Amino acid sequence: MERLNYTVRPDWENRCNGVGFDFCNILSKDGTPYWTEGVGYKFTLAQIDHLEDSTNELHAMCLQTVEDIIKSGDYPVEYGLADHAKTLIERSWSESPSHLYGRFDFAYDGKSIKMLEYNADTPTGLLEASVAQWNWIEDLGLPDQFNSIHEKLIERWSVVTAGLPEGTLVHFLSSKGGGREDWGTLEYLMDTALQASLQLSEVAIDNLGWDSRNKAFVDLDDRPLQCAFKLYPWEWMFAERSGRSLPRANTRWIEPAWKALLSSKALLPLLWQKYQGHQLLLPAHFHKEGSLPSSGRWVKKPIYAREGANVSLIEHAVEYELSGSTYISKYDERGYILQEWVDLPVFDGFRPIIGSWVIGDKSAGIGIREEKDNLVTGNCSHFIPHSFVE
Amino acid sequence: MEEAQQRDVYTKFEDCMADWGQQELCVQLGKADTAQFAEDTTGVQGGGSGSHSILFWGPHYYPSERSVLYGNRTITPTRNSAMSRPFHVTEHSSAASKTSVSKPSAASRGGFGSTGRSFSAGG
Repeated sequence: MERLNYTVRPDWENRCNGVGFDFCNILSKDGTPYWTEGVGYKFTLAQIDHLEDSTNELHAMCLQTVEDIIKSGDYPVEYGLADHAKTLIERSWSESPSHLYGRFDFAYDGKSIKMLEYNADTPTGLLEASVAQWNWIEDLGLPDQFNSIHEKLIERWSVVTAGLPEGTLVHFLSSKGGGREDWGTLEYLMDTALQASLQLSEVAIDNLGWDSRNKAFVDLDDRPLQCAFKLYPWEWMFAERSGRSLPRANTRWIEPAWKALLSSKALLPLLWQKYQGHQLLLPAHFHKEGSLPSSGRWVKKPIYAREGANVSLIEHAVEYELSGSTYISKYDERGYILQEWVDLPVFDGFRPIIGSWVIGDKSAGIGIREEKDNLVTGNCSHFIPHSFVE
Repeated sequence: MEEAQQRDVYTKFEDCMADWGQQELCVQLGKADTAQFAEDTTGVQGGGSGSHSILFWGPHYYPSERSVLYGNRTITPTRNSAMSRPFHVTEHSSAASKTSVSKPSAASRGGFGSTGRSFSAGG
């Protein structure tokens, strides 16, 4: 694994914009664009095989954990799930367990992989990983890339919509408050669904209605939502005013509601309890308020949060802020977990995190984000393309 | 209490386009809705002599903010070309002929999205 300099494509912004990646040049706090041109990571085939196999193994472990929870009906209290959420989760698992995608975040130095978390519900960073970085290796004539994300997404739509009547309209939802990245990701996914010959409609989730007479969520034209992809976290949907109506509707949601059990950091202690000592996992425990571990270095992460918010370091029972993390009071509500600290590798002063994509139940490729000055990878991290050689 | 949404009704597709600028936001009323609308506006079952054979919906919006999100941008009309209506009319200050017809949707809206107004949904 190396971080190398490459030729800067003079038209790189046009190349990104041309595929709808028009947030490629959003500036981070350090004043540089989100997409890093002229630099890339290079792997060996053996390293790629290792990443692929590990992703598949971890995903299978996650599915087994979900199945165990649902079959036992013993939902850890830390998830904070209301009855209507459990009902929907159980129904989604029994009726339509197929799902579209997810992204593991790994610490990886070329040798050892450690799972940091699983963004299994609303992962972003997708268009840049699937299309933009593929254009990069094609433009530069590089030998290969671990990336079949785009093809697998198109194939997967037929699985997640299987059994629906032909011509069923699939609604694509994101939030009015979502930025360009959210809507850009949504529209990229719409493009893959269109290539899978689905009928689509794009709606802000804020504009959905609940038709109590027909027990259906409806769009702005009062058309019922039979199947809906949502770039909106399950924990928010469960908690918001229409959440209690969710089990009463027949909408097939993508991602399915059982993904809520994977996208929460509560998954990390559960995985550790079930697979303690596994080489791909870091020790993790639920944090007890007022009690900090007296030995070792731990990362304190909110059970529900996104983009590196509210992450801190615990060392010798003292809590330290971590650079790159912002504090949002809302993320305090559901408590925290502790995950053993792992040093991210440093390449030319940058710390990369591997985003390993799962499409369906298969590892499909990676995207890399890196930080220079910050210890937490957040929404100001930069995307770096990659290639590999045999 | 939740604010009910409304839609404007237009006699011409062009009028709706002039307000909202997007074909997808201007939808022809079905027969049942047209008849219901005519009945509501004239008080006569079937619509009476004042009924229109073809009408168009604009998009739903909240009366307090006549705008909608389309794709990732907000459309706020600077004009109101909706047809006038004798009953349940929201009067506009400009002229009596420039009135907005309120047709509350059967659906209760706004039940999702509140968290997303403050936080990024992607991770």
